[in-house]
Amino acid sequence: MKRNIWDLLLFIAKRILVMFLLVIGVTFITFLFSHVMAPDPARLWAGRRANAARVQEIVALYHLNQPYYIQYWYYLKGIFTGNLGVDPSTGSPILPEILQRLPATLELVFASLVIMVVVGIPLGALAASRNGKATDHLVRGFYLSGWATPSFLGALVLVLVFSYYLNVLPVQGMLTPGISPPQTITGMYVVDSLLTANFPALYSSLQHLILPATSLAFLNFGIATRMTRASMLEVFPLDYVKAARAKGLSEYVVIYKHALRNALVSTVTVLALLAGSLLSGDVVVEEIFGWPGIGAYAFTAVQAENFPAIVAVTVVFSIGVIIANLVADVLYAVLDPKVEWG
Amino acid sequence: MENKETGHLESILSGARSNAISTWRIIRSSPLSMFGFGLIVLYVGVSVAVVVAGRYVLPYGPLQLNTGTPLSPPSFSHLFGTDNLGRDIFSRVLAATPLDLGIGIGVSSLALAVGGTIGLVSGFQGGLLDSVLMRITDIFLSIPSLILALAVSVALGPSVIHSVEALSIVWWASYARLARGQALSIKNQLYVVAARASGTREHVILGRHVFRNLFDTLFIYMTMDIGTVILTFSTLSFLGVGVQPPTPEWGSMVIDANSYIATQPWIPLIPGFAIFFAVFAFSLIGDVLRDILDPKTRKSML
Repeated sequence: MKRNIWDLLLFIAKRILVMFLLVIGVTFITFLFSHVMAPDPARLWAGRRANAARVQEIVALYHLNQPYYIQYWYYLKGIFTGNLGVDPSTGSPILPEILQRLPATLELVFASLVIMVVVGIPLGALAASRNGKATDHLVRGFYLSGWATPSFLGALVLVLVFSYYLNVLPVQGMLTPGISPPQTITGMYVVDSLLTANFPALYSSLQHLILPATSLAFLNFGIATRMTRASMLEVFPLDYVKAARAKGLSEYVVIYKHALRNALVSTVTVLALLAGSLLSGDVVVEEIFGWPGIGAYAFTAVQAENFPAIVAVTVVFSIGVIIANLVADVLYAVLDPKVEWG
Repeated sequence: MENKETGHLESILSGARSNAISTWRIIRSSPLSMFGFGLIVLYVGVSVAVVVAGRYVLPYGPLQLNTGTPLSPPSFSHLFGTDNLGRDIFSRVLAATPLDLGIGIGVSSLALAVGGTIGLVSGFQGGLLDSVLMRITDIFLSIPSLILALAVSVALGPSVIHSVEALSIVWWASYARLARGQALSIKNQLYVVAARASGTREHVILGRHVFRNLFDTLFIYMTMDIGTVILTFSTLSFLGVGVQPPTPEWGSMVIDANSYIATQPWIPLIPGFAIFFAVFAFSLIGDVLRDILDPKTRKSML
């Protein structure tokens, strides 16, 4: 069995190379629909309200009157030098706007991943241990209803129940007005307030995080649950589980200590693959909860016909998915002792 | 005893692959999937009724204003209440059914045809063609589908046709990946090797042996996927780039009535639940069928 650390590093280096090629591929696709397929690219990049002079400026700025291969060269160069275009109504560059909102989106996505792990995986283990019984059907009904819920419906119901009827949780923004944000270290309020021991800000930011993170997690945890259930059912008939039972260990220890630990390898990697659907749901959830992240920015961009911003968010979110896939590949190689690194 | 059960299940499984009667037996065996099946029959029935005899089925015209007091709660004259313009929500939800269902079925069938062909050719042919097609598929799979569909819809301009085009551009990739994997494993099965050894021509093997076996898997994936298309399409409308007002569509009905969530919650919630039950129904059926066809979970059912 080849498991030499240098082989692992070589494996990671290869994956990073593939990652760069994928990013270039993504820019090619976004270029195709934003420059080639679009009926009137200049109008799109300049905004609907731009006058003729402004449209001319935009044509010159993005080199829209050049042949496609030159346009693509400038577009690609722009992306790799951090120039993602300008907002048609204000003329300010897009990238700083996105970077400024990145921590809020990361905080929301990571929080919902935590909820998916804490709720989704034990539910999958429970369903597997009661395979075919009523509990199994209940869990299946529960995760399928999460899957079937439109992101906006789930968010609206949570707002209605927890904020209007029960009045226990806030529904807008990241902090209660009047509480000053913690000193910026990562930009994620929960992490920053924890690091600076700012407990009022920690309490308030956690309160604000619960509902949006729960609705984002609810939409996606079905896949975690389903995957855990399937991989648990795969390990149940194996000898080491039978041996654990034969030793007289309690059913709880057999299921949660022995079987689940092995089933987790495939589940953890699947979680990283969820990035795409998490980021899709993020657009709607952020808008409904007034969460100041990239998703809400994309929503506003659609309403304001800020096309460069929409294309930029597409590229940035795709890079997020590609990085998540890289992490999943590496995690799988490290966690599963059967994978050879060479 | 164990052998007898295994044999029984094997016969159900081979039946599921070859005829619809056994599939029906499997659906009937679980209450959840019966519920899903009933819902699908209901949705399809409503769609057909609205398309064929809309005027007689709908109590009010879906675009008709002031059919009753605006914002009135559900009652006998207005089963789901009325919206802020006095339009009958029951009529609007029903009128939107053929559109949402049609787009769900249409886009996923197209994705199956296009993606399935790409994956089949890719897996069966192998070599350079396979590498090129699969790298392109990888690129499409890296872009979150809602965001890509959103950006393409904005580029083309907001309309139903454009959002359907946007969804079709996005949707084929996962079918191609799935079909390729299946084609690769079928290619090396004994019956294909035997067919080739007996002198069967390649295109006959492809059509008769590989395609037929692959189609079941793709079809089951599609069953679950119809719901996902409906979800994404209604989210596009929710974001303002799909169906334009006043045409009734579930997602755009929710965003239009978004601000009434605290005071008249039924106005946004009822069309939202229309989406929910449609997606739920297709997912239930797909989930049950997938458990049966997936060799990993199938083993555990023995």
